[in-house]
Amino acid sequence: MKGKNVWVASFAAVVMIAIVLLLAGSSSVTANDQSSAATSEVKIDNFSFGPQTLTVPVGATVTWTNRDDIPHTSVSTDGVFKSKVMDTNETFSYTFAKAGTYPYYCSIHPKMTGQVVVK
Amino acid sequence: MFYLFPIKGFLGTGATFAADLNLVVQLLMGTALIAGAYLAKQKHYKAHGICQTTVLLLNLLMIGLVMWPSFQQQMKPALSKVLHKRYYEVAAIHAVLGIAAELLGLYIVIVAGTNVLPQWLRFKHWQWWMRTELALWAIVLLSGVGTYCV
Repeated sequence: MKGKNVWVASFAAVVMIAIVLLLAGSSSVTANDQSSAATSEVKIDNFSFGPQTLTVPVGATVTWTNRDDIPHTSVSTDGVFKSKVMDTNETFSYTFAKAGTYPYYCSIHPKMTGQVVVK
Repeated sequence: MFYLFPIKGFLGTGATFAADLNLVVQLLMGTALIAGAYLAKQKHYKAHGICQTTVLLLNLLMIGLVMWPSFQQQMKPALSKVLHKRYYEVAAIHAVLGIAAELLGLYIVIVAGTNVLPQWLRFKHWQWWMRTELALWAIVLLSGVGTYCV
């Protein structure tokens, strides 16, 4: 009976940890990181683009820099721009000539997403 | 599921059919992981991800269908009494390292393929962790083969 209790307690602990992780994960997704500063650099670090949303004026050049130790890309969802595979510390730049919202993602890790808002 | 198969193994080791099948699958998966690492080296990153993830999930299936039931049936009831015997030592080490390798692999796949984990729960230095996972997997595979030899 004692052994059974240990298994039940272990299972309950795993379920609790999973719930906590899920809640923590969902809050990080909804907390949309937004930057409207003059900066036009997007850092790629630990499987995420930062800032997730970057607002720049028309004609600005945005540079993506891979600070991760594994390769990533930056590919426009609408086919506007597409980087080559960026290894560590490699960069990709694109100049936005028209106003609009440009969502993009990493084609190697498609859950990594971001957007550039050009005003 | 494996009660549908004949009891006797086909490798002549005295193990059951399910255990022999598991050994063959594990050796194939080990080869696939090395091939997957080579794919990353050749910059075929998508293929690398698909290959490693498939192996990891297939291993989860093999754990659920073969290894965990076998551990429950043969090891767990006698664990405290026979741990000093070499066969049980090797099997216990294999089980502990195997669980660690599977969990680390799942963690890597979850971070690389989903947004489930928040930033503060993510490791840094991914290449190091991926190489550690491959090395750990190799040790687990060798210790698993070792259970057939001792």
